[in-house]
Parts: sequence; C-alpha cells; structure tokens
Amino acid sequence: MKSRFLKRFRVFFSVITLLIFSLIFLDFRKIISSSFYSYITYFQFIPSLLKFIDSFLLISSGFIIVIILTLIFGRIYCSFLCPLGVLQDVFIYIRRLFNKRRKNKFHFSKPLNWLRYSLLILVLVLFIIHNVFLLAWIDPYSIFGRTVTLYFKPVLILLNNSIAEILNNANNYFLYKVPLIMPDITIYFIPTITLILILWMTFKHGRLFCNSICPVGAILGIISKKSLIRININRDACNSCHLCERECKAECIDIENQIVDSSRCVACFNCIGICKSSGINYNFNIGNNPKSSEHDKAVNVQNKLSAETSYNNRRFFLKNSLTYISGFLLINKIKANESNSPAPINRLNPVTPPGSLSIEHFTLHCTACQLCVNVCPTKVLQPSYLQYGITGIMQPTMYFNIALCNYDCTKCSEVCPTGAIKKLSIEEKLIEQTGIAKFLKNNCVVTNMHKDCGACAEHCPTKACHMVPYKDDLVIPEVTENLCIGCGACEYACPAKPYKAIYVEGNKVHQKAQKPIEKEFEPKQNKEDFPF
Amino acid sequence: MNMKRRDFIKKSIGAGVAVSAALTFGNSEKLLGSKLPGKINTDYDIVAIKGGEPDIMLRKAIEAMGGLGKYIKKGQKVLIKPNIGWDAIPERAANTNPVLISELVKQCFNAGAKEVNVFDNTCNEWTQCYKNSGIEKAVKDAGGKMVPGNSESYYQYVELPKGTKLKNAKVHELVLSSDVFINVPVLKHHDSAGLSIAMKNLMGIVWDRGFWHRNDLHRCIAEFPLSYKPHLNIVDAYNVMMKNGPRGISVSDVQKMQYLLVSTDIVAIDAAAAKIFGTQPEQIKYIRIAADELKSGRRDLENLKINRITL
Repeated sequence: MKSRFLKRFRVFFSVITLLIFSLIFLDFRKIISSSFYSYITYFQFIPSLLKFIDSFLLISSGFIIVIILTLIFGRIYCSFLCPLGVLQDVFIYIRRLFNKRRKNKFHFSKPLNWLRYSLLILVLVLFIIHNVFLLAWIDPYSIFGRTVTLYFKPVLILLNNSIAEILNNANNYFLYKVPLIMPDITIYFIPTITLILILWMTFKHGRLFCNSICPVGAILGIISKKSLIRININRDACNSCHLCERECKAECIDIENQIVDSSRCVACFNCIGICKSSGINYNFNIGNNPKSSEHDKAVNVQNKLSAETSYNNRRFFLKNSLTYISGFLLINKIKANESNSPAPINRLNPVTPPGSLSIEHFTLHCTACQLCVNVCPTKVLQPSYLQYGITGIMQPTMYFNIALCNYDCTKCSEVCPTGAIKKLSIEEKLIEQTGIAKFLKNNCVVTNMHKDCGACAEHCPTKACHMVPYKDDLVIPEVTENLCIGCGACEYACPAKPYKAIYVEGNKVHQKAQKPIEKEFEPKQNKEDFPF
Repeated sequence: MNMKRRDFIKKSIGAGVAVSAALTFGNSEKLLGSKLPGKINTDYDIVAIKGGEPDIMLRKAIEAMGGLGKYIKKGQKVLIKPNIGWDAIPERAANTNPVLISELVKQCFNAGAKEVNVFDNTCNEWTQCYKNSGIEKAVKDAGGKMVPGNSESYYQYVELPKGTKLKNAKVHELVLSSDVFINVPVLKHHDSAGLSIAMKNLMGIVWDRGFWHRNDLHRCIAEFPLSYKPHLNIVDAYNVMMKNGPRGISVSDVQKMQYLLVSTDIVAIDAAAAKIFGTQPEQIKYIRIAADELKSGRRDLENLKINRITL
C-alpha cells in the first residue's frame, strides 16, 4: 500500500505544480497577483542560481534547498517541482493513451554522459565568458515558459475571444476580447526545434531530455549519486519480471544487472507502483549499486575540470568572436538620413525593462522565460528577435509600436526569477531612465502637414516631451532629456506616417532621470461666480 | 462584413427605436442628436452650477434642465461616455469624477433607463484606467455596466458625409446601438488641442485617433459632432487640471473649482467651460471652426440663455 502511495503523491503534487506554472504563464486576465510569483518560482533551479550569483540574497536560495533535498531524496525536483519535467510526463501519458495496451515500453539504456556533461561544461564556460544564451535555451523552466507563452497562450486567447464574441453580442462583458500579439516568426525557430526534440525524446525514451540535455538534470544527477534515500532493487525479492524497467521513463533500471542508475532516476516512483513482489523499493541507500558508479563520477569531475581550464584559456577568443557575430547580426542599423525628407527610425540600442540596470546585466541574466512578458499589463515587453544579437534571441525588449511602459508599474521587476530585472520600488521606477526620447523633426506631422498634433506630449507622463511654439500659432514637440525616463509613451502615440517622428534610444546603462517638475501655480480666481 | 451587418440589423430591430430604424435605412445623419427634435427644447441653453459637490451639483443642474426624463424614455438604453483616458487616481482630475458618474448612472435609472453602459477608448492600458479612475466601481455600484473599448472589433465603420477632413471613422458599437448618448467630459488643460472638453472627449468613441492627429486635429474634432452629436453634455469642472494636460503629472496640476455645466449644445458648453478655465473660446481652434465655420453650435455666450446657480 505504501508503495502505491508514493506514486500517487508524486502525481498529485506534480499536477498542482503544472497547474500553477501554467496559470502564471497563461494568466492574461491577471487573476493571480504578481506578488505571489516570486514564491512560485522560488525553487526553480537555474533562475534561483542566477539570482543568487548576482545578489547573494536569501530570497534566491531556492536552489540550495533543492540541492539539500536531492542529497536526501534524490532527484525529486525533476518529478515534483520542474514544470517541464511534469509537462514531459503529460506527453508520456498522452503517448501511452495511443498505445494499444496502454502500457509503457521503455527499456534500460546507457547514459549519454558525454552529452550531458559536455553541455553542462559548455554552459558553465559560456556563463563565465559572459554569455547566458545556451543556458537560456536549455534551462527547463525557461523552455516551459516559452512553450506555454508561444504555443498554448495564443490558443487560449483565441478561445477566449470567440467565447467573448458570443457573450458580448448578448450584452454580457464577463469575458472581453484580448488582442492577440504574435511575436516575430523568427522567435519561434528555437522553441519549435526544442519542442519537437522534447516530443521525440519523450515518445521514444521518456525523460531522455532530462538525462542528456538538461543542465539541472546533469547537476542534480551528480548530487543524487550521493543521495541518502533512493530507489534500490531488493535482490532477494526481485524475480526479474522487467515490469519496472518497462515502466521506467528515465530508462535507468537495468534488471539484467540489478542496477538502478540513481544519477538518472527522477524519483517518479512508477517502478515501485508497478512492482508486484516488493522487489524494488525507495529506501536508505544500502550500497547495492556497484562501485563503478563512484568511479564514473570521479572521472567525470576530472574531465570537467580539465575541460574547463582548457576552455578558460580560450575564453577571450570565444568572447570576441561571439560579440563579433552578434554585432554583425544586429538589426536596425540603417544609416541616418541627412536630408529633410522623412527617414526611418535608427535605434542603436534596444530598450531593456526598467530595473535591468544595463543591457549587459540584462542579457547576462535573462533566460528568456517570458514571465515578465506575460505579466506586463500593457504588453510593451515582447521577446526580441535580433535586437540583442543572435545570442540574445527571445530575451524581452520594449516594443513601443505595440504599447508604452506604464509609468507607475513595476510588475516585470517583481516577477523576474533570475534577477535580470531587479526589483524596483515605485519611487525608483518613476525616475529609472531606460532610454531617452529623440525627436525627428523631418518626420513630424506639425512640420510636414503644418497642422497641430501633439499626441506625443499628450502621453508623456513626465512632460519631458512637451509642446513649444512653432510657426503660425502652431506648437511642436520638444524633449527635455533629463526628465525623460524612456517609457516610450511618445513613440507609441506618435501617429506620423510612414515613420514615427519620435522614438526612444535605449540607454546602454540605465540612468536616473530628474524628478518631474511640480511647479506651484497661481490659482485662477474668477471675479464673479460665472465668467460668462 | 456581412456577418457584422446582419448582427447590427438584428440589434437595431431588437432595440426597436427610431434611431436604429433610421440607421438601418442607411441615413446615419438622423442619428442621436437630431432624433428627437423639439423634445430637447429646454428653457435654458446652458445650466451652470458652482459651489457644491459633484453629485449635488448634478442633481440641481438636471432639475434646472427639466429632469432627465426629457432625454430618456422608459426602457431605453443609455450610453454614458466619461473621460477615462488615463491610468490616474480621481484626485489627479485626468478622468471624469467618479462621484459624478455614479450619480448620473443612478439618475438615468431613475428616469427609467433599461440599461446604462459606460466605456472609453483609453490611452493607457484600459483595465487599469477603468479601475484606478474609480469609475468602474462607481458604475457597477450604481447598477450600470462597464463595457470594454479595447479591441477594434468593438468598433464599426461609419461614413461621415458632412466631414471634409474626417470622412469616415470606426465608432464603438454602443454609440450606434444606444438610444441616448450622454457625453460627460472633464475640463482640463490639453497640450496640443488647448483644452479638452466635450468635443475633444468624443475622440474616445472612435478607434483610430491617430488619423485625427495626422489630418488636422482641430478640424477633425470640430467636424465629428456634425454626424455624432450627444443628446446631452455634462462638463465636470469640479477639479480642474490647469497644466500638464491631458495626462497631468501629479495632484499639483489640479485646482478645485467646483463647477458643473449641462447643455445640449456641445459647442456652447465648450465655450463656457473655456471661460471657466480662463481661456477665451475663440483662442481654441476647434471651437472657432465648429461655431464660426461649421455652425454646429454657438459660442456667443452673451446671447444664450444661461441658468447660473450658485450653491
């Protein structure tokens, strides 16, 4: 009875994990307050680790608890807390439904150690030379976030909109239509490849992704070799029926040799649930496994260390070449137009979200999980395609053609799990200068049509952008740069065609703007009660 | 397109009122303002009140106009269009006063309205505007309904045959399907238009405001009421944003003036509100165009019958 309970508890727990994580990435109506998000993402290994390296704060100590849990219980993280792990379990479950006998048919396979450890080392080396892109592509939590955001959320919004259409026609506005903002198609390239890879792996070999590509799986795999409690085969009770091996989605049970590879076991407890003879148990390590695994580990660590040093020697070369490639691929590098005719915007630096300190800090810490994109109330934050170069693909940036950055909103900084966007108080946010508005007179309605417009100044929350007298009783925009916070309200509102007449040039390093001027004014006194 | 038109006709027949019928037969000019000729004859062109709280001033003003029953028949569908353009608290006076809106919703129901809907096509993120302006709560508590205006699909294409610059627009479906349209702007400073009052507030019932900005803002503002004129305009000048409009920076932009204006003449009410602000109506280009050129209302306040009430 006890053995069944473990599996049931795991399934129950993981379903809740999946629901909660799906909810925070799908919640376009903002049902859950974003202040809870940091608790929800607390245990996510890579984000927590990144945040800890950056700030050494207790708030980001989730990964330490995960390590301790792994030392005691093995890789329960992979089955209980990792949303991508649970999502893979769902894929496996779906595949099983299409199986005639409704049974899994896994079998023991050798570990792909060369792949998982070399990827782990590569990630580490890239991180040391200031690049987070490979980590961002294979971090399980971020893959989950992107998959839900890019594939599931649009479906949900379309569904919402069709039901809203019917309700709204019946004069019921309980549901309302939500504009569907689809990112550039190039953004789908990596997530699609990842999703196909994961689907193929889960259908063929269960949790192969977790045991060959996932960096968290690799790290926890090393740790779980030492775990106190683990899956053990009771050689006296086991009758070698292979039921557990066929059920093991990590493909880590070798019944022939009566070995469980605990570095790959994700503690799903399926094997215990299916065993009819108590031949496989979850209990204290009784040293059943051959010593070769210890040996393996030592060799691996050595390999890792030597590889690391050799990579370290080459880090400057790598760094330079990567920078070169990304620079080469940067978009929006159109030369400035010197004549008086309208010219397209020539944005040299993308605008990063407030709280991200600098483009460098942001791109080094963001794993592109899209949580800030989902929580952004105005939808100004969207995944980038090549604004940060190819290594920064999918890291969010501000799209002022879609919306503006809300003046007194700090949502993205509240939810960021990796510390790429640091928490800002409202007071800090109000003067956080992410960029500076640049006025392009040649594109402006006032100059070209000789008519009043002023949409930019209307929207400016600090009046950095304001109207000053121009020819013939007209007014034209002017930007006081030290008041500008780079929120993009002006750029968003600018109606000029074909090119906007005002845009925000991103600050490479964020600055502090001056507080808006609050001048006292002489109150109007009407002599009589009514001036007419 | 077909689907939309069919829906629209269905709705119109459902409403079963003169305005919808006129629309269905293709004459959009007969809409709204011109629908009830004679019935909107009040004794006064403008009722101006000073010195009370927003809800009390509204009650007195409506009394002085002869009651809301003059404009709302039993069972009718009423649309109230406040200014909810900005994600700002009521004290900043960037949006219409929620106390005023609450009282107006109640008055509409008292006058026999079957339903009262409120919306705006906001400049900032709409759910935050609805919420932080205090208007959402005010309307819901009073029994009215907040309607979204955030998606283009809520707007329908209409021709504006009297326009020279503004020949068409996409107008919110509620404007087309409602029997009574009450425009409730807040008086405030406006960087580019000079002042934002009643005519300017109508920009919030169309989808593409950028077109107006690109194509002679003042003329578009003046031309739009030629085709879509509210039955009643109520100007909230209780708290007035005196500078940094239309969004404002903080409460330091605001002066408590405690005025309220009611009129059926959208140009006259703009002229009177401009005077309260301390600006001569002829200084505001769109008032000049509307009054002198298009003759869609009057700005010669000295020749109008104005009921001035001080509380």
